[in-house]
Amino acid sequence: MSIKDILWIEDSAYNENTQLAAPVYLSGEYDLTIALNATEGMEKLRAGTFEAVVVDIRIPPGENERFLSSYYQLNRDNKATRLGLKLLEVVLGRHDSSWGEFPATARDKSRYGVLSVESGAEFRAALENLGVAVYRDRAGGRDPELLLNMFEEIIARRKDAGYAL
Amino acid sequence: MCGEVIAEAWPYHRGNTQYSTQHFQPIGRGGSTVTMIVDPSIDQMPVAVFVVDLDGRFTAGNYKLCKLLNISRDDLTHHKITEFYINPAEREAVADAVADQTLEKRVVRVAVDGREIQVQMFCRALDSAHILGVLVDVTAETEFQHLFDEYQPSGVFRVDAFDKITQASQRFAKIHGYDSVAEVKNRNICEFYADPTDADRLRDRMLTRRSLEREPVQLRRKDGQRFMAFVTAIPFFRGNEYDGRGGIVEALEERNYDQVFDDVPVGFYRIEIVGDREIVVHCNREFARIFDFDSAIEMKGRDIRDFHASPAETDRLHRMLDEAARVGEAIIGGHLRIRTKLGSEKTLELNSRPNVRDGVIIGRTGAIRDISHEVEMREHINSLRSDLGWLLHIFRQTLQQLKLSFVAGAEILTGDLKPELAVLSPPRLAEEVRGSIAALVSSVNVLISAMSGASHTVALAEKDLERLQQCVQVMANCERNVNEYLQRDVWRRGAVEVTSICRRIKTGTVARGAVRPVLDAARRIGEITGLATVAVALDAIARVDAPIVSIREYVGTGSRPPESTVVCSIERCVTEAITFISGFAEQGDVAIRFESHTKTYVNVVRHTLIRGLENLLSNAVKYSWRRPDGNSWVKVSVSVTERAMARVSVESWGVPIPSEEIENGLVFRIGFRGRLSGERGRPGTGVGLADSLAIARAYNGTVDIESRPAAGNDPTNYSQPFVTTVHFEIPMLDKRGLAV
Repeated sequence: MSIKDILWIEDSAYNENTQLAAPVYLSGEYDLTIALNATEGMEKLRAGTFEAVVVDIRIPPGENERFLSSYYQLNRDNKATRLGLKLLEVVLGRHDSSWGEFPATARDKSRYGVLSVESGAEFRAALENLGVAVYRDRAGGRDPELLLNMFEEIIARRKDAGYAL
Repeated sequence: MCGEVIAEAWPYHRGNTQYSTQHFQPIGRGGSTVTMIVDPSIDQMPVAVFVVDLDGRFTAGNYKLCKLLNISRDDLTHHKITEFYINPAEREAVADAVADQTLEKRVVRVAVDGREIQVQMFCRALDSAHILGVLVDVTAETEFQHLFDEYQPSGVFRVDAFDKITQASQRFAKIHGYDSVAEVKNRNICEFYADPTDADRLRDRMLTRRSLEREPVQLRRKDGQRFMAFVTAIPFFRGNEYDGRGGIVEALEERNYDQVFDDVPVGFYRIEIVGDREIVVHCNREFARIFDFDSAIEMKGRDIRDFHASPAETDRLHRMLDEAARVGEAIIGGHLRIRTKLGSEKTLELNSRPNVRDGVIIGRTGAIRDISHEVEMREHINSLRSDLGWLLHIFRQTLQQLKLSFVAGAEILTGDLKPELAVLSPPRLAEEVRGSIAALVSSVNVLISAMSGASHTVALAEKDLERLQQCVQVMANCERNVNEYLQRDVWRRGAVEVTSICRRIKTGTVARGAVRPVLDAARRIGEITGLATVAVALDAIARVDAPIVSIREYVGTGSRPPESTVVCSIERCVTEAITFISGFAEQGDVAIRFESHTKTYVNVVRHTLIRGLENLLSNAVKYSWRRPDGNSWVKVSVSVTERAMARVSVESWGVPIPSEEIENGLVFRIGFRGRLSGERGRPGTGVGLADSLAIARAYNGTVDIESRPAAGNDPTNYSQPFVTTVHFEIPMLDKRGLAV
């Protein structure tokens, strides 16, 4: 069994959400990379190949101007800026000028899932537009295996869809 | 017709026809009177033509003249033109003018059968004894011009290429404080501008745009008084050359006063008390609109009391007015409930000055504003504040209960009534747990050996065995493969999982002695990481406690009855604030250093001041790092500034505050959390500093912040520690408790 590279973009990964990472490590099946903000997430996606990527929506901008400008426009509010969604749009959006800067694996929408307290029809529609099918509401439960299950689900869906893993 | 023909030719143009004095022929001479007949072509002219002698007696005149002056041809020579002048002085002026030169377009008022007629006169000397003239009836045009000048609010003007006024309306003269058009003619237009260079600027702008439309500009009256006006102008050209401009001037003040009065979104009114009625005698449109009337006219004359929400409201208003009249003041910012024409209830902001004569209120003048929405919002906010205060109270109680529950859990976990609950840094935790991990690895190896052979699949399912090995391997390699902040959870959860798997080993299949060491090692790992988790949770509770108390106090401000101030020592308040915060400081292993041997007195509500200081201390503790000597501490001092302010300075060493957040005042904004304030997961509400500043300001004080690199010179390198000092200042009192 090969170890799969996976990415978790979550600003609270080392604080409130440490318990979510433990089952992923203990499963022994994944090499988990963590990005704490949108800029870091973008850089990891640009440089690496990940079988599955789970993104939080309310994340800070980091240093990249692309995210900082939205962040400052919305009064430095992580909640309002929804930079996780912005990151997904940058990477997966078809009309963005940045289309060429990411490898094909990063632009593969089947690899993505969203774990966030963000909800609402408009938000779900935005995810659907981007082709991100796996979504979990973090406010919904206390299951420490939530993150692990998401990674497993993304990978299982890809397998079912006939992707070579 | 015969006789001498006057040889001098005087061309007179009207339309395309040219006439000359050759058309007038003498028919006789006698004394000073010359009687002349008129050429039939002159007789048919559409204007009145006449010849008078130097006394003004008509010696000739055409049909139109006789008709204009209502005299017969035969009687003409019996009349003098002077008979018809309304103002005899005008005759003199005309005579003088004709003596010198040709007179053109002079408007003269004449009376014909008691009716005033305005005629435009053209005259010149015919010979040494006679004057030839033409009269054009311009009564209708002049009346129109008069009306235009009287009622047209704008002044009309024309200037030549050199900015000299060549034409102006009477209104133009009047707007600028001059009596007549003659006074403004030939003046340079610059003279009418408050800043003469504005005239050049406007001309240039007009030439660029080919017109000016209602350009606001400050003009100047004859007496030097300035006024605002709109200037509209278009340029004239002769060929390609600029040949002056014409336009209109609209003075703003009076013209717009009524409009402003009506447009302003505040209701103005004057009420007079007539008998037992309170009559609206004057109001603007907004006042009427507030009461659901379409116009001020509809509102005027009504008894305002009919619109008060209740008789009790009327009584309350009267009491306010009586009190205002008694002290000679006005009601400012009062509230009044009304019921409008359509039955809507509204709350008004009332500003009213009672009009008092001989000690009796005879009316009032004032302004109102509909603040129903604001009042509703305020009530809503107050209700929310109350709910929020209650919620925070419950929340804090819950946190305290949680804290006790965590401690109870730790007691059970350790079997110790005083468990050591210190937050361990990742390296310290790794150090603590390392031995137990090693014990776990070796005991699991022994266990697996014990289960090896034919019987182990019976003792434990293959899947469980794989899982056990997997867990132990991850736990053993955790320090190398897992981020240090995640290791605690991996070890804790791994230990739980190992225990769970071991419990599934079928009884009797493996010697107890092989399982027990695994369970012991897992229990020990669980204990260490469990206590560390509890300590982190308690630390998080302690960190969030101070902000919760702060925000609870903040939302509660205003909903409690105001407390009176007392004179107290600010050093004492600092000491109390430190005491309140000490638990939190101990939890974070941050010392608070404060030494004071002085007493600086201030006049404050004690618990409010302590809360303000607590906010600052809490922040300082929260954002402190270990200093190079390995310790964390916050330094507090009290001093007196040159402005006689008592100053409490709180200095911390650690998380920087970016300069732009200080310069733009962002750090004092409610709910604002600094860019770096979430560093290492520090919780916060963004209320503390805003609350402290509000408290300082309530005492006419202030809060200032400095944040600079602790070492190094690059103030933009926020990865290094910064020394941050917050200065809280309020006015001090002298030893007698009096303001300094």
